[in-house]
Amino acid sequence: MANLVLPDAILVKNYISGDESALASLIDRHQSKIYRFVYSKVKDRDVSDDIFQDTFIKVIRTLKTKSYNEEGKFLPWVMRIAHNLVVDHFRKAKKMPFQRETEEYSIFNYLTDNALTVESQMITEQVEVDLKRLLDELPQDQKEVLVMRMYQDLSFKEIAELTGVSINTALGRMRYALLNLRKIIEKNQIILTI
Amino acid sequence: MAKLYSRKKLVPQLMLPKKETVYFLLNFSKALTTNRIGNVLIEIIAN
Repeated sequence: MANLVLPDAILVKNYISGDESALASLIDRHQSKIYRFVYSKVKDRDVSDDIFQDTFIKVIRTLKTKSYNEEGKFLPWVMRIAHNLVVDHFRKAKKMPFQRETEEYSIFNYLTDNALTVESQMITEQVEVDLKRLLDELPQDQKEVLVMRMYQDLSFKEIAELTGVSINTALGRMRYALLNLRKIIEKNQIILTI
Repeated sequence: MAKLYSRKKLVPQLMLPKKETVYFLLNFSKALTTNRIGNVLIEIIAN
């Protein structure tokens, strides 16, 4: 019995007409070449499988929607699709590089995290509570200027206008507030560091 | 006799995708039907 080897064009025509076994023949005939081509670029079997699959999904979609023009160039067409998908893969990998940890190299040796640890956060919060208590020890006018300057971020001009005093008086009250705060901290041997 | 130099093959001669990949593609093809209505293309994948 003679073995009939149908050319690609006939297999494609049969597939478009509804013969699913024609697709199996086409894949069987060309899978090695296409897969080897993809693997030679990406050097990863799993990625090669994905790209191979995506290639043929596009092929199937194009043939099923009868958008394919048969010019006797089935394999070059499929290879072109595979090539474009390889390019897309590298573009995506470039935008989102994937780091694999190895024994010699760990990305966490280079990545830094500047966020406060929970411990630092708790200390910061405690320091702020202590500071507020210390402010209550100050005379009212000094406390007022300090709060407006440090917590409300007002300029001395604005503080002077709001409190009805001159800028020099506001500056003086601020200076005395800081001096008194230091005295209280030293007297009570308080530690306010993060 | 002259020495024969041949380029070392970077990829083995016979490399194939996984059987599951091919199996998926064949099933995908069987399940897919398309319909074009005017400018709209509808793809139906039957389970």
